Amino acid sequence: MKQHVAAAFFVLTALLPVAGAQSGAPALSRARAHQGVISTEEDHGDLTAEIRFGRALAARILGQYKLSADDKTGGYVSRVGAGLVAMSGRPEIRFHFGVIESNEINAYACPGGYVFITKGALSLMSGEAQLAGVISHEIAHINRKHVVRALKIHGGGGSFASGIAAMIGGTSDSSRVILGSLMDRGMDLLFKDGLSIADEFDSDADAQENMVAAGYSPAEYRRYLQKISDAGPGKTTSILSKTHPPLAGRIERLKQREGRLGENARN
Amino acid sequence: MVLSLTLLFVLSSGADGRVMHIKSLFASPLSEPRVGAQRTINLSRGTKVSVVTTQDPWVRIRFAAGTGWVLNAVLSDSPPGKTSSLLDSGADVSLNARKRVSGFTSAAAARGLREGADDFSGSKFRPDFESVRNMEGGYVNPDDGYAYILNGRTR
Repeated sequence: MKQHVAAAFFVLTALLPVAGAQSGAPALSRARAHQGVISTEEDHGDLTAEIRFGRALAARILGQYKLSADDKTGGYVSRVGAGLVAMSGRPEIRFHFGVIESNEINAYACPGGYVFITKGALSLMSGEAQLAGVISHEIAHINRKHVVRALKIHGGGGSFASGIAAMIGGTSDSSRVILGSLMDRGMDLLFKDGLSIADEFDSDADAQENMVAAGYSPAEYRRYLQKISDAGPGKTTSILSKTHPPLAGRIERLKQREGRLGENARN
Repeated sequence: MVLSLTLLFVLSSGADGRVMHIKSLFASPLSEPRVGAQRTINLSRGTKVSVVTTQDPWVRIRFAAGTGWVLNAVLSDSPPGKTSSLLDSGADVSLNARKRVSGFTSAAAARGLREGADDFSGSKFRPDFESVRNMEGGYVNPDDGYAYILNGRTR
């Protein structure tokens, strides 16, 4: 019985290579990007599945990298992050922000609202607007459910609530293997394979809009990416360069969009 | 004649007509689609508006008092949903982190969710849920966060 419930918990059409998401995924329509609706029982099941998966993925990240004990910096990042969520986060989920002990220049978004930024990324920033740009990019990944879509995570229908109860505290061997494999693929997506190029470009564009809505200059986000680019390839950008499109293309697109946002956006 | 009237109506009310909702805490439509243009009015979260036209990334919306331009990012197809979280069910997030963590544990236990249970234990990656709880303990309400970044303009 538990096996059936487990199978219903996550619909695993997901066991396809992640590489498919990297190269062939069609660009999502920007106009459809900002969903924030929990209107049916199935939607609610999907949301619960998303949060449970995202929280467990966040726990894996924190199993690899220590959460910074610097409460002052962590609190600051959380306050800025929450302010950005106020302007364009999905209202139906709580966002949590953490700083991790890593010299890598990167940030990570887990489904369900868990956002991480490395100490290495923070150390390269020259102002709050640059932090806002990076956090906004991660919020956009969560808003657009990029990881959820890449892994095809959703609830299993009407019996979802009882499914959750049955899953907690003891899963069958087979469901443990399936869910464990899904988790491993989530980690690979964040640290090895990356999301699709279209997903990254869309998140960059959303980041600019979110920055404007919150009163930051979007040009600061571009300047930050330029700084990373100027620093050149190195050990601290190895994950970023593996999982994201080349910086030159991102910077060029950001510049073009600044023009569409208005001349003041370049300041 | 009928065709002309229809055309006139479509042009005056906006060719798009989609109904959308303000998703952000508030939105201040601008008189023109550019950063720095004059703000018209403050619309609160959940306000229903209709789309007049789009000029990516800007959207011209119609609301009760007139029209104005906002960014795509602040709009949603449907009304903002109620917040859902594993930290729901009355966990007190307003006190210190230690108390918040125990609040979450109690709330989860009350709903039959055993905190610390890991549905994904088949993963080859080791989880650290205690650190997740610490991170959740630092939750900041979006309204407070927005007030903070507003104050930051004068910091």
